[in-house]
Amino acid sequence: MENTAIKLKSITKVFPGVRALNQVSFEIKEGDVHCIIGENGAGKSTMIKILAGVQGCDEGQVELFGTPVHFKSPEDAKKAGIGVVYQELSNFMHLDVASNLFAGAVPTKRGRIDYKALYQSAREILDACGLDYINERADMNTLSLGSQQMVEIAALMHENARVVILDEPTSALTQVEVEKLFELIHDMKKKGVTIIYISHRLDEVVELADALTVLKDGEHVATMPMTKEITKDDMIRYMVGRDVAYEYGVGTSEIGEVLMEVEHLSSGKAVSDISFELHKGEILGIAGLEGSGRTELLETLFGWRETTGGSVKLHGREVSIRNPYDAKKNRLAYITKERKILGLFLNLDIRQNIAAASTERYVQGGTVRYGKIAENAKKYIAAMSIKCSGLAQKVLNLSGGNQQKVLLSMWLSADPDVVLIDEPTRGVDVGAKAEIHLLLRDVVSKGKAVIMVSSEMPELMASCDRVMVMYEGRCTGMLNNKELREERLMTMASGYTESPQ
Amino acid sequence: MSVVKQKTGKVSPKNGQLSEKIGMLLQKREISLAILLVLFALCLSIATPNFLQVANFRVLLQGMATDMMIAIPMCISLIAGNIDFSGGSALCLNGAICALMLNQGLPVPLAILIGLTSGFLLGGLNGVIINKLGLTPLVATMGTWMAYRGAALVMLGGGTLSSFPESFLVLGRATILGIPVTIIYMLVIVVVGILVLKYSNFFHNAYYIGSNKASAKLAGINVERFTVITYAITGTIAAFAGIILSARLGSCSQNAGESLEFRNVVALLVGGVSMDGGVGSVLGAMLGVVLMQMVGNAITLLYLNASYTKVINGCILILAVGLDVMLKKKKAKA
Ligand SMILES: Nc1ncnc2c1ncn2[C@@H]1O[C@H](COP(=O)(O)OP(=O)(O)OP(=O)(O)O)[C@@H](O)[C@H]1O
Ligand SMILES: [Mg+2]
Repeated sequence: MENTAIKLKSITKVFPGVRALNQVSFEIKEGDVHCIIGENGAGKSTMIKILAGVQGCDEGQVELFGTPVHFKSPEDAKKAGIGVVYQELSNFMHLDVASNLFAGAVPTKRGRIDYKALYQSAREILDACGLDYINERADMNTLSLGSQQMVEIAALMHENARVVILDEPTSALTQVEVEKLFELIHDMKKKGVTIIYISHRLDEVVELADALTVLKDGEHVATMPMTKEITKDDMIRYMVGRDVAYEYGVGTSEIGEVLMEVEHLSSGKAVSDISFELHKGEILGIAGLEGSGRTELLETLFGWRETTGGSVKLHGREVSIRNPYDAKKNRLAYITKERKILGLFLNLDIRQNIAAASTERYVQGGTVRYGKIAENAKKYIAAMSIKCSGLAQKVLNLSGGNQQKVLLSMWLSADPDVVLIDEPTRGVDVGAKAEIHLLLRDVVSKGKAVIMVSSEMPELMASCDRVMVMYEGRCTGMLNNKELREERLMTMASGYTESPQ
Repeated sequence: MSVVKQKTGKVSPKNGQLSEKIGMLLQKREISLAILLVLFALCLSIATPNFLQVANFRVLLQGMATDMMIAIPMCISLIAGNIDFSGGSALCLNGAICALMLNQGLPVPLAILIGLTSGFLLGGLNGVIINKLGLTPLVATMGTWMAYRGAALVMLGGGTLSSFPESFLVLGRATILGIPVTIIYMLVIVVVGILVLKYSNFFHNAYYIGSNKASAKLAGINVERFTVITYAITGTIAAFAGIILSARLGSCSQNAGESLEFRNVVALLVGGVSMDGGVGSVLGAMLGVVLMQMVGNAITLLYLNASYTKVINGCILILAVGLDVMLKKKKAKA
């Protein structure tokens, strides 16, 4: 199989203020897993959207299996055999799983919707994808983020697509789900399906790729077959154009007095009997599997979820946090992992978003000082290297990773004492990851503290002073930075409590 | 919640507890509304002997026919996130167009056809405005709501039109097996509405579009076409209701369909259709309309001041939707 599945000929796409793609040309071979890598804002998703008919290109030509195509709508691309899972979840929250699987292609019999067939085939697809724990009749919004993502991926299976495009599919998945996804990819590959795979996790690229394309600032850097010789460092050099300290050992800061004391905190069944102390200058990591109560713990601390027992002390004083407003008054900040739903104001510009959680800081003599707002926004755009066309760009139009950085900037601007943060670097490229870790370290070194939930073990090991492991709402262990080993974290995360030696 | 599902493996909807099942049923708006309606009817029949009379039911059903017919397509539109405020005005304007044609001496079928066609076009115009100018449905239909009402006023010159031919009047006054035709029209539209929303792919897409417009587009659903067609259908049915109303009353007045749109939106919300779209059913919408009308009926039967109708309907709206939100919150945070 040495046919060309997709050929891109000098594709150019210009948005007001940015050239998202500039004369990009390369070929994708049929039956390959073709990985595309590049920094946040490099133009990866834009390229996908052009292939999928979501956006048109300003210049250039796409050839699919040797014939030039001009997709005017996602419908056209679908008919031509292109199936896509977009970077941002794009499902139907109010509807059940079966309806989501068959969106736009509900089975009919004699012109009538055939509900029996709908639920039956949905069950078959889920089982075939190893998703036997997902109920085809459950409402989508009752599933975890990872399960939702898996449902979107499973939806491609019945479409019999010849080309499957996955834009950062693993950013919301748990380890187990990632393995399932890889199995699915191998299955599809056996059937001769061409797969385009985008990810910031280079380990995945090493494991999956037959070929590799690197984009940088909208320009095509290289396309090459993947060989053993190509290392992660090589890839980073291609992407960033320089060496990055990949094993971002960001060091530690001075650990001060106790800032927050949590005693026997519970919230229903999701969080039970959690106790810990958080010191000034400390980054406390929380590890655990999806559903272990990590996120729920943060939600409880922030008053977003009802506290059913236990107490929280800040600066030695007991506080009662019943809603996010109380939390903010007590100088807590919470950065969620669902940035599109909770957190960002997609239709407002970057400047307004960054100022949103700290509006009172820009008031002087009773009036809002817009200059200060802009100044603060500029500071963070530089510190986090947010790629944008300017302060006035709508956050909706930023690339996924850059949206994450804006969300971070928004809460750090509020200058909180304790930052609660869930998956801080989801969707963020390697270079920016290190920058974000440095920034968090910088924050705590000023006498603040951070509680960070992450599914990425290397991230926890590189940036945390201590890591608490959770399983089914309970704490199963607390490890110092020096004791951190991936295997130990994993065993504790699966519910084995280590007896203190 | 997702947590539990992942751990316990496959969850089948069948092996729930009975009490859980009943709880689930009560959370369905259709069921709780139906129970409420039965209770309400029971109370009324105890309070006044006039309620359980055939004549009263006839009045009640005939009175709700106009609202109900228009509520059905409005419901489908709203599930897709497209609110429609222009129904009452469209009823009046297109009824007036038909009436004018009749008074010009046009044959009855032709006059009706013209009325329905203008209903279709003026309804569809809402969709075109939304698609092409990018207005939100609320703004677009508020505009046409006012403009159509104004156009009807101009046409009717502040008065009413009457003296229609007998062959026209019969369309609103005949009875079949003793049942007034207006009630039959209403039932047909309700049944067709239930069926198409459930079984026709085109109308069923309302749920996808209402749940997430952008995703619906990505899934290859033609959202713009859906929008225009559903608004056109609402317009056509509104025109039909207007024409039938003229036939039944024997006159076409400039107040026809006044504040119908607000009554219906309230009925839809009470019936469980979400203002944000993606949720709702024709059955729920129907029950919502019935509840609104029964309140009016009760007020008449009990000789209360008619203005209380609005007070009560307002309270029902806030209670019904408020209760729903509270139940959902409890479920989510449990
Ligand atoms: N609709 C739009 N309007 C204006 N600018 C846009 C729009 N869509 C994308 N851009 C810009 O185009 C550039 C490329 O964005 P794209 O989403 O393709 O990046 P990406 O490579 O997918 O990044 P990430 O890894 O963060 O997802 C970015 O600078 C972004 O701000
Ligand atoms: Mg992207």
